[in-house]
Amino acid sequence: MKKGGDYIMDNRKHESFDQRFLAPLKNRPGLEPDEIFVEKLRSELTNGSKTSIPLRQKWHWPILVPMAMAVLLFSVLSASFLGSDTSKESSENVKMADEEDKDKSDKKSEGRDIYNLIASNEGFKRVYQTVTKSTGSPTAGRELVFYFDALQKKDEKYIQDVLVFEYFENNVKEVLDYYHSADFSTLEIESVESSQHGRSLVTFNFLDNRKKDLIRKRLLVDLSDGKHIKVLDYIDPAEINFEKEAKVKVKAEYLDNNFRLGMTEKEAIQIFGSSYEEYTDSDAEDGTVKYWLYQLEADENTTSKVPNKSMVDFENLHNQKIGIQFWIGWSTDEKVMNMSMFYSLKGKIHSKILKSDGTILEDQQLTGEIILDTTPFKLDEEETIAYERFRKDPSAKHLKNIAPLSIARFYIQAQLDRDYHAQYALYTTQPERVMWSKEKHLEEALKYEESKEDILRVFEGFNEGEFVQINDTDGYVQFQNKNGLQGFSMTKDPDGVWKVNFMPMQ
Amino acid sequence: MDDQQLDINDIYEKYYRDVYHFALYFTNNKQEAEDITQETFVKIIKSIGNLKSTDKLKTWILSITKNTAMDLHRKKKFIRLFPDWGWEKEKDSFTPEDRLIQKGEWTELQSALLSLKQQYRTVVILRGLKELSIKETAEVLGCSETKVRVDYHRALQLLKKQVLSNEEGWGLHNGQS
Repeated sequence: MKKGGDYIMDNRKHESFDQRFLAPLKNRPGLEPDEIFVEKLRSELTNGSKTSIPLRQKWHWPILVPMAMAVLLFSVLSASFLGSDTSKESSENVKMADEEDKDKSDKKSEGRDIYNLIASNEGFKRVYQTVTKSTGSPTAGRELVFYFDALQKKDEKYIQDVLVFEYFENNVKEVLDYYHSADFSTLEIESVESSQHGRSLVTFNFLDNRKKDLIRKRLLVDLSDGKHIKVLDYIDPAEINFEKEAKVKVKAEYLDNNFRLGMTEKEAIQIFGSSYEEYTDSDAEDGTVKYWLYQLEADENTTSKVPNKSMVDFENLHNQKIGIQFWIGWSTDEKVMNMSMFYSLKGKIHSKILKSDGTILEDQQLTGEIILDTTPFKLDEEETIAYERFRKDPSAKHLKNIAPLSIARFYIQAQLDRDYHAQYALYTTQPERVMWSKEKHLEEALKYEESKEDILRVFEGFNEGEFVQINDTDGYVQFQNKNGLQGFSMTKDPDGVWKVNFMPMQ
Repeated sequence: MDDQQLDINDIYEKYYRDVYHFALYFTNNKQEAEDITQETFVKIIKSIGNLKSTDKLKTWILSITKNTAMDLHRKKKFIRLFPDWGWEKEKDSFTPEDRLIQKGEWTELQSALLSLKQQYRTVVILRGLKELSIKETAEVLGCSETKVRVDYHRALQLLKKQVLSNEEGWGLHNGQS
């Protein structure tokens, strides 16, 4: 028995070692098949002939549109499974379109002559020959050349007629912008996959003079009625603003490098120009009396929706209709005392704020609206008197007739002052809402004491907050900051004094 | 699944991963693995009528996969060890300890697997990686269970030897070598 038991144990040891030994391979990366391949094969197996499905054969149309969309959207994933028809084949000559095919030409192609186009442009010639050979249809080759020619000539009408937009949000301008600096003489067809119904998925590449790079692209040519070409040519939004982004980046660096606190108006105009809008401000806590707003790299006719200095025009920045919003704040002696700059790169809004005390705040976020609160948190004069009176004697009698918003501000001020006695006294005394004792509060507050910066970060935007009363005894201060809409909940005690709820931000 | 109502959809759904995994382990080439997968299912559709019982569907499918992989391999003579998939790590930054651990990494194992004879490679894939039972592995390979045991043992020994061949001083634990 013992021997047998040892044998089993040894076997287990071996098995365990072997399993551990093979485990990295068992979980190797790339083990799962490409989803597009799986769907493509599934569709072919279930829709196609049950007798024969040759390797890397033609695919049926029902899967081509979603396929093409998927391929276009996930070009990295799809890069490896396409490509049975390579450009090597393109060197072979093919017959020109015969007269019959030529008659099929749509009205919109008028003025375009395939013979002239392929004679004058090597790229067009390659496209024509390869597509014609791969699809067996000179019409497909010809119509695709016409499409590229229209892109080259920025023929908006032709593009509008042939492009299919129903699947994407692209528009003609975006498509034309995308091909704006394409060198069409460098066009090469990498592969063509055709259905039996006149639709072809074409993979091609070309040199982009602006990007100084070889661009690889796919589009779907639909000639299912044998006559009218339809093209599905999806442009990734990230590609559209390439040029604008490059300009914005350069400009943002320029502003950053040339800005300094203490500049005079003359110096500012010299460096940043005189195309600014001026906003006066008499309420700024840091002493700023006016702001200049520069809106740089902005599209013509774009009007900013900025209502005042504390807002950032997220929408126009995000879609890059406005490249950069650049604010500078002026002191009474006409010197620059603060700056804030906002711009969008690769879908993210970047912000840089230089405060009058030299503090720099930098951030970037994907979505949402940035609301600036450059005014430091500070009780006003009246509030300060009431707050100090309350601190000396933390009794509710000193809070009578004080607005709930001010009481909420006392709470924040008490936290900043680390006066946790006063802070506790600002909590509601409603028995069902009391969550812990004063001792517990003091203990916890000391244990989890936060820096002033952290406290102010939590209450960023509170200055612009407003009190929302839900009913006779409940309400909250609503304010907004980078984390979104925030609420600070409060309760009216039986003595009519508004107090802060325990854990008011939750 | 009823014998008379074999649905290619169901078969595909249930086994495409197994087929692809086998093919990928066998070739370490995504393109070839896709080709093998595709060819395997074409063969399945063609000959599903010959299958008498669905009890052995999995081993039947894997046996077609194995034959397809071997055929394709013979035809194309493709052996591309590590295509540029960008998974290789920067070896320079590794400490000796890292290297020891790295010895067991998948690239080493995959490379060693490809160096095995097809007979051993298939048994490692089926038994060790796809975790088929001895009986199932024997069915796929069309041999006796004893032969599976022996071949698997030998295959693993060769695999370990291959992985460790260039590393001095790293002995196997549990008395293995």
